Amino acid sequence: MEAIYTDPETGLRLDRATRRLILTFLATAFIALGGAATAALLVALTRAPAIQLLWPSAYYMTLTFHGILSLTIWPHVFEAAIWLWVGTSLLRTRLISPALGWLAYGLAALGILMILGTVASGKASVMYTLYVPLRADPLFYLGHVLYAVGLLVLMILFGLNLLKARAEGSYTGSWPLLTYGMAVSAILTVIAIIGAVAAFVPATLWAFRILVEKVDPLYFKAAFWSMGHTLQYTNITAMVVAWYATATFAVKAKPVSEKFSRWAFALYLVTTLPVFMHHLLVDPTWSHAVKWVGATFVGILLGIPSAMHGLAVPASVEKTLRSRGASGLWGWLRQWGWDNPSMVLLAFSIVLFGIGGFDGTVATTMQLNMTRHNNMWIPAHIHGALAGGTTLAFLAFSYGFLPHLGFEIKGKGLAKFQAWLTGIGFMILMAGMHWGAHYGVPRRMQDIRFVGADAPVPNWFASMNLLGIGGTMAAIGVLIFVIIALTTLLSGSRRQPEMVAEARDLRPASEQARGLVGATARVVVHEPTA
Amino acid sequence: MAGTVFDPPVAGWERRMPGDKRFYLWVLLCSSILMIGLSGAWIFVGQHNNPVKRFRTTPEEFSQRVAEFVDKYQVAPRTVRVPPGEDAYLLSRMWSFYPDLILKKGHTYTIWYSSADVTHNPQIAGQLLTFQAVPGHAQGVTLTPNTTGTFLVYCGEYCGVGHQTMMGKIIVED
Repeated sequence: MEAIYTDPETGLRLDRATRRLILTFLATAFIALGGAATAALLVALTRAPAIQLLWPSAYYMTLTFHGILSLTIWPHVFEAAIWLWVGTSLLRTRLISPALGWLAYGLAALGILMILGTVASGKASVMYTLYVPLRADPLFYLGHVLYAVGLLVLMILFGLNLLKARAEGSYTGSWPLLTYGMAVSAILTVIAIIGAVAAFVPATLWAFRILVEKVDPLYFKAAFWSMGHTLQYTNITAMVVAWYATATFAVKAKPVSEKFSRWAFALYLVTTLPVFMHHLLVDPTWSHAVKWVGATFVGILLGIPSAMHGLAVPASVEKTLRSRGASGLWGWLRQWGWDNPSMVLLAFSIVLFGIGGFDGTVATTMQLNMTRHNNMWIPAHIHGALAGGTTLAFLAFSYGFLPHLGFEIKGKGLAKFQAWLTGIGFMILMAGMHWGAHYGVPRRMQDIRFVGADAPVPNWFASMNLLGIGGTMAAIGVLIFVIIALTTLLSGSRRQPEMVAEARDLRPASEQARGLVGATARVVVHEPTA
Repeated sequence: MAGTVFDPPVAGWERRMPGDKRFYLWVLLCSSILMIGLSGAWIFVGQHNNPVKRFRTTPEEFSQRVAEFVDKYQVAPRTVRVPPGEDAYLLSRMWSFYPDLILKKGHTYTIWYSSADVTHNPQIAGQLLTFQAVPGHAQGVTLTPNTTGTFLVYCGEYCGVGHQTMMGKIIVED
């Protein structure tokens, strides 16, 4: 007997084993996000000179937590749930091996515990970038390795599932757009893991003092970012997938052109790989030509697929709303769904990602990089592209995905408040960061008063206090979301599974009939040739 | 839900893209080529460049060079007046920049950055000029000061718990 859950809204089906895995990854991701937001609140209150809450060692430890939880852990654990969903439910098949999924989860969870444990012990306040020769506890590096292996196992599982679905013929034609997007994301992840091996194997040996006495800082930085920046494109591809899915959950939007969107996904594969070079634009390495091709040339080309998706997603909503009677040039924007937290967050996500993307393009330009490197411009870029873009997109997606899995969102009024608070908070945060960047305020600094300096100290307080206000609003908004999401998960689902004797095929009833006709037709066509 | 992103695409999706989408793609491509061209011209024609002067070293060797440089031109404790035409050295270490430099307005200097321990990033307050100081690698930053005054130098790369106390200064005289 096999238990199968059917979503009445979309007709999509999901088997119990996969559903359990998805829920586990989701809950883990939400807890990580809660930790990230708590750390964010403390960081924002410290960077605002009016409060300056934490002392240096506590601040650098909290900042390391914030970076690792929100960049290394939360997005990828959340993406694991999306990978499992698009690889099974959307392809109308079951997971080839839930055990492999649990192995991935176990390895990743162990890695995460090792990373967080060493940071909490105070022996690994080295930021998420952990540039050698800054030395952390050896277990910190080992934790990263385990986490990467966990991700790799998940990628293998996803790849095997795609092959299984193809072999079964459980769907007709091409992959759904979301599966296509997550497949691109998976390829990028595998490439990033090659970079992770290059960076973390020598670093781990160096940390344990086995064989490796010294790791070249520039080699490590290049290898680290060949992993790190490629992983960010994993997040961005998943973010775009979440955009399309959110628009479908909320207003049943259809993509304006499947070909256009698929081209945009495929372009990420071509343009992403050398872009890590821009991290070394002001380091003593490589010639101008190499830096220009790797960072500036490719950095500008990278804008193309993002700009394609950035218009294709609102266009799909516009087209749908027009077909429902939105009139005039902007009528569809009035009907966007400003009382639906999912659509509010989607709008903020697209706008913030646009701002963060422009920041990134500016930072990859060689002559501009030396005026932006390591000042508030960089957190502005990350908080636009990753926090504002990806995180808000995942929140928007969750408001559609949890009901899809059979959970009823608790506190709907609070959800609406949360969406606006987070979005506006991020806008203010970005304004403060850009303002500070204009004057060169350094990032990652506990105190910008420079006590004891015998040179004139610039006054940057206004911009950083604005950052404090925005950061506090955004962090509280995300914390409210975490409470809503966890309460929703904990209060359980009322959806009852159907008990099916032999669930070989998870296609909705209507599609099964269609598939059967197709199969018959194929047989008829092939008969004369055979 | 047929035709949505949850389903395999409707047959025929791979046919030619609609005209407005192709137009938008051309706009994106042309603007990218324009920006790429400008950024390249800026480097290869305009000579508006970051420094590429660099050599390999070790923390010990670089510290030795800095000590010799300070001995030669020192005018006050840990303060060096750099004669125009000479290269200057700035050693980054946990958690200070050594030595303080006195430069003359309107003259071009090359300041060699490197580090004695972990990676640092000397930034000159208000000047938006930031280059990395990496242990084992020296990098020559060429600049011509055009304003007189005292400028705070602080660290932009996280380098441990004393990061916010890491300071130095550059004085530009007439």
